[in-house]
Amino acid sequence: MHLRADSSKCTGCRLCQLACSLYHFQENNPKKSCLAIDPKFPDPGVFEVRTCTQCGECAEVCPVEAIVQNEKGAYYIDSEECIACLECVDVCPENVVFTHPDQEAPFECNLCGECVHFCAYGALYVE
Amino acid sequence: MELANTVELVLVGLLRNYGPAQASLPVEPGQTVLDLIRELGLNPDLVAIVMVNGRQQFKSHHLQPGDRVKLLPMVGGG
Amino acid sequence: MLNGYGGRVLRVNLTQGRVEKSELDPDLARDYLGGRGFAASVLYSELEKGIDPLGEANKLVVAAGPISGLLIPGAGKTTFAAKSPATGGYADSNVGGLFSAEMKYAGYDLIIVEGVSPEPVYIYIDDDTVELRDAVGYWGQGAITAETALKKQLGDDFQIAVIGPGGENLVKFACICHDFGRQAGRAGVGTVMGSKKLKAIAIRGSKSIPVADVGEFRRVGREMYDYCKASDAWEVWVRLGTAGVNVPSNEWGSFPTRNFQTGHFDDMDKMTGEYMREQIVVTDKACFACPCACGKYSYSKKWDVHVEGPEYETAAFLGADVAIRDIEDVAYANYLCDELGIDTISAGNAIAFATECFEKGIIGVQDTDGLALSFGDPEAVFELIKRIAGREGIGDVLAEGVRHAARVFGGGSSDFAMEIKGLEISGYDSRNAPAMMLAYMTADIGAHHNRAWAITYDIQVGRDAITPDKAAKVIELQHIRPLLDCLGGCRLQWVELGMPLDYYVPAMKSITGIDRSWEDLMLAAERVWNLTRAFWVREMEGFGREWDYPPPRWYTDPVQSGPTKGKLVTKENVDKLLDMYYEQRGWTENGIPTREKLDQLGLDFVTI
Repeated sequence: MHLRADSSKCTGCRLCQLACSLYHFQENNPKKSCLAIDPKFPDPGVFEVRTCTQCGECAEVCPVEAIVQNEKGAYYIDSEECIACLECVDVCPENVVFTHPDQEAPFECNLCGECVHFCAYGALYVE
Repeated sequence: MELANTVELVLVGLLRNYGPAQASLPVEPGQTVLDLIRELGLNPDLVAIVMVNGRQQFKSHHLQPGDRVKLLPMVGGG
Repeated sequence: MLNGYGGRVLRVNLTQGRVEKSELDPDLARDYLGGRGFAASVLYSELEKGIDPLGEANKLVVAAGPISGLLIPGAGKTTFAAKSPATGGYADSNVGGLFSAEMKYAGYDLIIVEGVSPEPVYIYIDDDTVELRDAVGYWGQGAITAETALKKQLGDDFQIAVIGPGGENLVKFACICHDFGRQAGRAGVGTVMGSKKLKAIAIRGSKSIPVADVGEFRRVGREMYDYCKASDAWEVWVRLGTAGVNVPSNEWGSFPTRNFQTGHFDDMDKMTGEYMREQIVVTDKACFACPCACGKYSYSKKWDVHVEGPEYETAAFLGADVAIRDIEDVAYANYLCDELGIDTISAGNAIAFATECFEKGIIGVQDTDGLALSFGDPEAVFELIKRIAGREGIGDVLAEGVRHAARVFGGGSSDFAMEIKGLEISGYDSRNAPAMMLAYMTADIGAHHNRAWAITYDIQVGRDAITPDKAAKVIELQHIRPLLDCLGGCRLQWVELGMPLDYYVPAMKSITGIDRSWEDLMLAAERVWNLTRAFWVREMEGFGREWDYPPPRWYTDPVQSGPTKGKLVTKENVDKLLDMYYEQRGWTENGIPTREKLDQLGLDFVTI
């Protein structure tokens, strides 16, 4: 089970990233969110959404076993254990392990599902 | 199965002052959206957007039984 | 740290190549909120009377608002402001997209650009790093082309505000372009940017925006979002965008046609929002934090171009007003304006004006370098757009705006130069909508509809009435819409979706921590309204009622056809509307804010 996206429905509004930041970090900062929106403009003029597929490669590559699964089965990085080697960031096939200057450890989708609520077009779903 | 000779009407916003928010209304063959608006006692200018089965139409559009009609006003304030 | 704000003012002096950051004054935030409020305050207090709008002393103000960058539906507006090269008075224009959000993430509420650069530059902002970078390689590029190139060079996560050749060539209605199809279009804010040799501003930010009460803010934002999503009107506006208004405006007899000769275009089959959706729309494109993407990003197979639009105003001015009947041709004209960086409203209005002059024999092929003009000729429209942007031949005259063009062409054409205060009238013929006409007459950048979209009030209460409630409604709308411009928000959630305005009260409280009632917010908007009026009074010798008059066409020329055939608002009623308006505003009979009104609003520093 993981967060999925139908990019054809994405309008680029970033409400998903805003919601993620607000609920994951209690902050107003889409640069601290766990999914990516890639605009392809001016041609073809669409948005592509990248979400975590819960493939587990980040957990596999982590040298200190800092990446484990939460009660929803989502991989998450334990910032206490993390040594910030960023191997997980490099290995992620979707490039959805994120870093931010404010945060010591990288972060990734914890399957909270708030972004799904805030996508008015149904582009996001958990399955 | 025979289709009832009705359309499903939804009135949005202040148009609900002039009719039900949602209703099934009888439709005559060849009836237009404008006819329907007049029957409701509505000033046609108050109906800004006409949607029939999810597509915008002119008020001259002829209705068919089973159509879903949504009438929207526009307000700039108040 | 000021809750709801980036907290800093960035001042860039292009003459000296100097960058200065300072703390945002909390009193400014308290009294003027943000957005156009900040713009009006800066322009009034920092500009001296009589400066050349295209010279070193003018300032380009870029302002975000307290909701910018936050999870509030519609928080995607950025204000650009300056003394207008088109009108000589106050100008602000807002643009949808993601720019103001990025300003807040970089920690800035205001960017004030001063002076003139000796060489083309762009301003590069990455959080605390601010640099002036060489833009010689971009100068001359179309706006869409330049944005593409800048994003490729800097990264897709930079937000760009950029001008095209129109701004570089000082076309008086040049616009500032952003996000591949949105513009700050009116009153020449792009012209000011061009006069400063400023090609673009590129910005990226990574900081969080503080709010006073995160839990409450989350609750209010969620409720506003849920309301929008559940609105019966949501599916309509996402499907059609503002082009959905093409049909009703035409049915109201307000769709400007053939230079406002009439308000009804009789060939709408290929001009509806529905036809546009089915024919060319590719993507529903949203501004920042907006759950009802009104942007209709389109691809025309016929012309092989991508364009965001056409929007209602563009369908009006590059469509009906020049009698083009196929929205796909309108889309191409739209693309040309967007790439060249000129306002579609003023450009179409000016082309329609020239066309009427040509058809009346006031100008001829000797004035147009052989180009014959007639209504309904898309190729002539495309050609004129290019000549205007390039300032070639007749394009050079039209690039000055219709007020100037009418003086050059003569022949009585000033009677139908459709402008007020030097700004081309936007998309609603108002000869049977007196409240809308009043809104246009008293809009504070010249004739523009977004201060007060009053036509629906005319329709609700009776179009012919010339009654005090119409003046009252215009005044109320002139506080509400500009309030949204101060906050950094869009009106679509309220006007099109029906979201109650009340939400902004708890929203602002949870964001800023300041407990303001709706009346408090309206008072701030009224303060800004009187300040921009004072800007005109100070600037224009003898400013007053005369400046508020509409073009003679609106009180001498009855509508030629359609549902409002024969209608006009008489000069007597124009005066009556102004009388009622000035009185209710607390202004003199000549339309000047009184000392009493200014003091009531805390504008004691205004000495007009």
